[in-house]
Amino acid sequence: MRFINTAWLTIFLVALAVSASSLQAQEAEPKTEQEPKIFSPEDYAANSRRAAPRDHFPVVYDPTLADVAAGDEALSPNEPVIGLRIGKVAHAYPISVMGGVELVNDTIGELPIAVSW
Amino acid sequence: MYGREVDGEILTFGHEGVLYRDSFMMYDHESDSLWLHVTGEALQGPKLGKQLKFLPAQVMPWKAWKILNPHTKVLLGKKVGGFMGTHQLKDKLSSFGLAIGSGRTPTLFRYELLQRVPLLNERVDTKPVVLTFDKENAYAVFFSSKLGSKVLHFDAISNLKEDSEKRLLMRDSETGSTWLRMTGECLSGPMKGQSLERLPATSWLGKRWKGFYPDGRIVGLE
Repeated sequence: MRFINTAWLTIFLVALAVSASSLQAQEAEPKTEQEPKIFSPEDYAANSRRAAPRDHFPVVYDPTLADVAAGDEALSPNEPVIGLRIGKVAHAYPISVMGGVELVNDTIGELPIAVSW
Repeated sequence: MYGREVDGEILTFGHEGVLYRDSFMMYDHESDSLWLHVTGEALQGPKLGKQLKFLPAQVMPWKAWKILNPHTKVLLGKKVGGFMGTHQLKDKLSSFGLAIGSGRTPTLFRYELLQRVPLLNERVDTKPVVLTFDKENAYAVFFSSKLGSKVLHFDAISNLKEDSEKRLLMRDSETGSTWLRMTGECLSGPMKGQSLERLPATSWLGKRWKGFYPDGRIVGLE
């Protein structure tokens, strides 16, 4: 049961980090027990690799979004988009565009959001 | 898609250039922590163990999104073909699934199964949920099927699958109310005017999901 072992190891490490840093340990421990973390720092070290320097891939920080008419001109009807509506405000991020930027920092209404693909 | 606020602080994310199990890492400019973009969890740095809040985003064709959101704004820019970029979702169904639950029992529902069985009453992390799939537009939505103290069970309406605006419908067996399948709004019956709670879910490439959740549950066999 690799999942259980990894989970408990991570709970232990998270608990250790929290208790070392502050008085929040008592609050934080029950929370991590309910939702164990699947990914451990050890697993990250073993299974990650640098593909490019930081900031090599383009990221959008302050996007300007277009209206539906401009969207209709640029997109075919069947093109997939990632969409989110918050209250009455809806934003769509075409996957064809996200393939080029992968990461967008935006705000929908008052809510700061990150879109990744 | 995630909220960028963590413990009252708004973070701004950049691209770290590192891949972890084939998925890229983000860094935040404020604390320099590293976050996995597919789960929203901080794996390195001062924010280690913090989790970004999942938002219930959806992936669907532009034409379907416009019908649901006629006043939407849209990000335009240089288009990249590549995998899925400008392809139809329907052509790529076998590679994808919808994932829900990142705790002890993460579950991936394969789109190929959903195409055959487009409405499922399920339990995820012991919570009753209903999952519905729009075959025409190839996207799925998850709702909590608990409303107040009631747990509802849904059937796709067999003789009236769409209303006059071509919206998919479902009916619950507890009250007999009729609901819009893809938005969770109740159109008629005792529950009229109420809405089911949309649950956050993420479209994943099946293979990549399996790499992160080797013991996760996959619904719908390969």
